Amino acid sequence: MAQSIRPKPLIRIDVRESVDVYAVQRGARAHALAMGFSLREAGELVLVASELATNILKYGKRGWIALCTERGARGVSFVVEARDFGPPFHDFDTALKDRHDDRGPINPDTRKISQGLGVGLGTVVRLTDRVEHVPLADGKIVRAVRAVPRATAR
Amino acid sequence: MTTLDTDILESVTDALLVLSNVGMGDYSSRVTLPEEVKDSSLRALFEGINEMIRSLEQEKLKSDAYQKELEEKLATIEKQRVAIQELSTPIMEVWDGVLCLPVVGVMDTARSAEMTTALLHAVVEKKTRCCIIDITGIEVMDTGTADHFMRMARAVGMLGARCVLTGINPHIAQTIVHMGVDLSGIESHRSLRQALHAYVTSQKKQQQ
Repeated sequence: MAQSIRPKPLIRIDVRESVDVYAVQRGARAHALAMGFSLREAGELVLVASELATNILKYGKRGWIALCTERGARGVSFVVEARDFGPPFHDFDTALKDRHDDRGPINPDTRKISQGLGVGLGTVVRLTDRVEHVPLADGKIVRAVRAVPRATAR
Repeated sequence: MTTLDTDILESVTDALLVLSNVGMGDYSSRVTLPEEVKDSSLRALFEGINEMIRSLEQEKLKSDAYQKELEEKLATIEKQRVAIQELSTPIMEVWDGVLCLPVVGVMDTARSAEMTTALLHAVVEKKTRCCIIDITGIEVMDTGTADHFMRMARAVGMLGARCVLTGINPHIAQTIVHMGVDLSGIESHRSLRQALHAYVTSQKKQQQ
């Protein structure tokens, strides 16, 4: 059965201060619900977007969150992209592990509270299908994708 | 050179000094010509310079006012940010030595970390004996955050207070169980009311 193809417009939310994270959470929830995710799934995607936005503030100086959709073999997917102007990851795969940063395990003795728990990206990995890292000349993009369960896709 | 010429030269020198002051932000002086100077174009020029100084002064006053307003607004924004931070982690003393922390909204890792710091400080400061964390308002939690929550509950225990979780919804219960975390020592009740009731009852029993 053919699904109606209506490209969703890209929503961009600038992230410069902590209060912007609330806007990201609201935007992500609306976008997820509009795509047909359940309340609980939308809640999970809100967590994903929130973690990415907080990371922009913590490590990326400033940037933005873009919410869009992607069509693939698995149908329609929710896409959240975090663009920042901070340094790219040294080793992305290590950074994805809980209680690690991009250079290795975070030493609890020297970790500052402001660095957080080191589990933000772990959340992103656990609650999405795919996470990609695109290093750029002036920063980086972290992209997370989650497919809409086929039965409920709009 | 006539006296008039000398006077005009002096006026020009003074005018240059005034303009130099204006350049440094001092708009208090004006350029003047002695009354004897009748040349209309010269008078017009000097009057023009004074007009210009007056309008620059106006602009500067306006700009200073905007600057002040902007600084006040930024200060307000900062105060509101602090208020939002405190409101998002309200810690209330609902009974003697009993703290209640109702959590609503999105529990991401940043909020979880902030909450832990605030809670542990409050437990020590208020000599808390029982800490009730109500998560009825939390829809979803990632396993990493749930793990952190459990550690926080244990930290509260180490500070000598009981830690009780209330309002755990079925999905979060599944998340916690799937983590395979040791839940001994962490009490759970369906609601804040039940948790409080259980605590008060246990206190009464102790006193008997």
